[in-house]
Amino acid sequence: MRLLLSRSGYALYLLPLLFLGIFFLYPLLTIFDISLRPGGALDLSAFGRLVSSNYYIETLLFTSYQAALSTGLTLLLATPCAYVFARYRFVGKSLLLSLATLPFVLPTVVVALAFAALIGKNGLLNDLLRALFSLDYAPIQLERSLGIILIAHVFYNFAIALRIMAGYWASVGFTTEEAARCLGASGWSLWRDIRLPLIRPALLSAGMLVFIFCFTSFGVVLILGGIRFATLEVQIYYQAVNIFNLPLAAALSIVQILSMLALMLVYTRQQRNLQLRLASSATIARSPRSAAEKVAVGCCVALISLLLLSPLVALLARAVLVEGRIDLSNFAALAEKSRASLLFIAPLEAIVNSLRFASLAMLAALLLGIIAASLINRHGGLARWWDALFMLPLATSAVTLGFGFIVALDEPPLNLRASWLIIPISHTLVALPFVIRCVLPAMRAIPPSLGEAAQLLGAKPHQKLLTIDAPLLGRSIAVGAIFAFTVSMGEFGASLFVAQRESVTMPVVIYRLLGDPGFASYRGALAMSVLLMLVCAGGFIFIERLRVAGLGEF
Amino acid sequence: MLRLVDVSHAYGDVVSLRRLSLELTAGEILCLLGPSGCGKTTLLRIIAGLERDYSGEIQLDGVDIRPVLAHERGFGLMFQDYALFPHLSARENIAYGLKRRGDNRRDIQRQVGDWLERVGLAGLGGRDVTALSGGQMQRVALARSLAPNPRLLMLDEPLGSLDAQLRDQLALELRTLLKAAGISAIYVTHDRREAYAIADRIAIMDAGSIQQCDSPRQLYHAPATGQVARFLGLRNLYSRADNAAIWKLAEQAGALRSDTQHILIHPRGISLGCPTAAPAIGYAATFLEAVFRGENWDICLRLEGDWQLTFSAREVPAQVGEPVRVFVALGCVLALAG
Repeated sequence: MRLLLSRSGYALYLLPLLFLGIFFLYPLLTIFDISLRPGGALDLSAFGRLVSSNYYIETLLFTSYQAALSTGLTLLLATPCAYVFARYRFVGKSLLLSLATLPFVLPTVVVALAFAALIGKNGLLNDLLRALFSLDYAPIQLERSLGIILIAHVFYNFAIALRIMAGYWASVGFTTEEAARCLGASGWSLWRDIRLPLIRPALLSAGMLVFIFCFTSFGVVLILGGIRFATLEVQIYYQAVNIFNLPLAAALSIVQILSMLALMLVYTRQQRNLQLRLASSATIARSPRSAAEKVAVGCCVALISLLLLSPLVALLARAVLVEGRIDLSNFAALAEKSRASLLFIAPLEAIVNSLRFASLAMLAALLLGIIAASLINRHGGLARWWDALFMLPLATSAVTLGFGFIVALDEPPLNLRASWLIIPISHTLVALPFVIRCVLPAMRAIPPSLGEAAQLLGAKPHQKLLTIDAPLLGRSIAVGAIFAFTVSMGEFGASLFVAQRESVTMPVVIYRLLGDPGFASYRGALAMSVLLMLVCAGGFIFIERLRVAGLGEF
Repeated sequence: MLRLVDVSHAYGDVVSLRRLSLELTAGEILCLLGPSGCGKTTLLRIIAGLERDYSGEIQLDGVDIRPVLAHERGFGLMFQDYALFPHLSARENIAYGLKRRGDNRRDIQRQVGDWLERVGLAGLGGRDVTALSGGQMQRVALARSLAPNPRLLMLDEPLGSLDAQLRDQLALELRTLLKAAGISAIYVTHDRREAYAIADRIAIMDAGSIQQCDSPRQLYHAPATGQVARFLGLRNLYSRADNAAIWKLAEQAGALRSDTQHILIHPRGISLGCPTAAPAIGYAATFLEAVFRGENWDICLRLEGDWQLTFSAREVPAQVGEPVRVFVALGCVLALAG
């Protein structure tokens, strides 16, 4: 990346910094301004309302409570599975791990709809039970309940917890456990005294990350829970869009931003601890021997298949099966502009929009991400600060970003509210940290001596960039590109705020179709969700194939 | 051919090179020998053009090369970690410099084939470099740096990561190859055995400056300072604080000078039973211990006047605690400044 270091190249570094300044920091500051100085002078009444009203305090409490419950449930299920993954070798293990990671790239609206399709009032499971026991009511009543939110959160975050803990477990090994066994430990005492204390750093790290994701969960809570189960995110959206109380929405955003900063601070501290320990040697998994071990592996496989595949299968079945037969009319109907008043455009156009925006966001995120990564990769004390700066959008919820956009970029010279450009720009902001986290480790893994060797063999700076850096970074750049594309395709929170009539994207259309009571709308949402799921799953398969072992931080 | 005058360099507050001067003649292999952190690698990087912030002069055939960029110097550098391009095959690695030079495809193919053969890797050209063994990687790196026919080749601890047996074998091969190609080379190492085997001259470096620069033989027989002697692994080095009997011996040998800081009794001048060279002084001694070293034994004696001598011998001369007679040739009592 020496080209970027040349004097003229320094100007390039300004690009991502300017982008971040204009499209991230400026909207964020505007939120602060609206909240703290709604009439131009300092006015803390919005905060006063927050603190004096039980309702908002309860919102914050509920946000934390549901995140804590989701985290607890996720860890409860993922911890034994992580042990099985670290300890045993079995057929289909890596495929299962890949499958378990698929939800990570699935849009929240798709996941929400998938769960509605599985355990909703008219879901597959209720249909099945009704038919089996000839019932005239739905036996599973989870719709608009905390339960369905928790289950969806577990679905989303299970793989993250599994990957972090299994990786850590494999690295610390099992010799301590074997020593404890020799000293007489077994069963529950082995878990309580040895295994859990041993993986505590990974448990805390995974728990913290899952908590952060659930704390900022928007699509799942909005669609599956509704306003009755409003979290901070949903409340910000509700206040800004439905009630148009911008100072209150801004005050809530500030609470959200500060909470996230505190959480991220704790998380990065834990992460450092985890990385130190991860340097230890890895152990090799073995085949399960005893019957109990085989049962444990079987349960783990069954749990993952059931938890992760059943909602997706239900979604697919609901979308393509009509009265037990395959019927693709749901998909054909996407081309019709039948619900013009609701959507303003035909659903098919939303697909074109999504593809267009995702391509643009991908290109922009790649360009800015590669430049930003090379800026961070430069040696010097500032590198850590640059890294933290570019990661900030990841620590800011998409709803806050979207809200910031509509309040900050609404007057000249940055009047983008009515422009479709605002969507790819917001997606670029969300995707940028992902691209950086894909490219930066690969950049760091290139020893400086390779570039120097090329130089001494006569390579000019641009030749070095083309013949050494580019091929070595190729895979990571490709992974970053697909990540950016899928993130953009599925982005919901910010899009819901900024998308205008003709520029709506697939997730927004799905949400709007769901808001319409008509059966045709529901089926349209199903069909579109399946399409979105296939695009994201396709992207995910590419990522899994391209990912270089040990590189990339996702 | 290459001339360095008063080269100084610092990493922040830490001085890595202090007014270092050095000359290299055409076709010569010069070894920079010194402990880790003494500035050897920094010196190579400065010569290669990879470090730009230094003071002093560097001339190549009388021409100042300070303004010349690294990729225009036509020097080769073989890195300690080989720095092979992991995305290219062995063949493509070797061809890299030739391509940059603008050679035509057929020429490149021929030269790469030639080099693969010369370094004993014929048939392995298509291999992924990450699939090669340490020794094979070393050969690819060597062929890669030699293929563009550099005016000067620098090698930074090229055998450092290999096991001892392979290191001995490759050091010899390397010298043969460099001499056959007639290339001037600067070879960095911290292993004196490797330096002896490969160098025409050895420059002993410590704390950013050159302590002594001589042929391996001269260096071994007449180290200039106590530090050089210590680094060459020479034993029986005594300072002023040590026993007065040794200083009396040096006086008898006529070796003492006003600036003497250390006395070295060179192992080649120590013998049991009868002297190896005249004049010599005989001492009554007690046999302390013998340590088995394979081909030799390390023998340790306590001499009259209560001082000790250590040297190598083929046989164990006596039982522990028995009296023996030891002779020290006066010509091998060296007074060292510094």
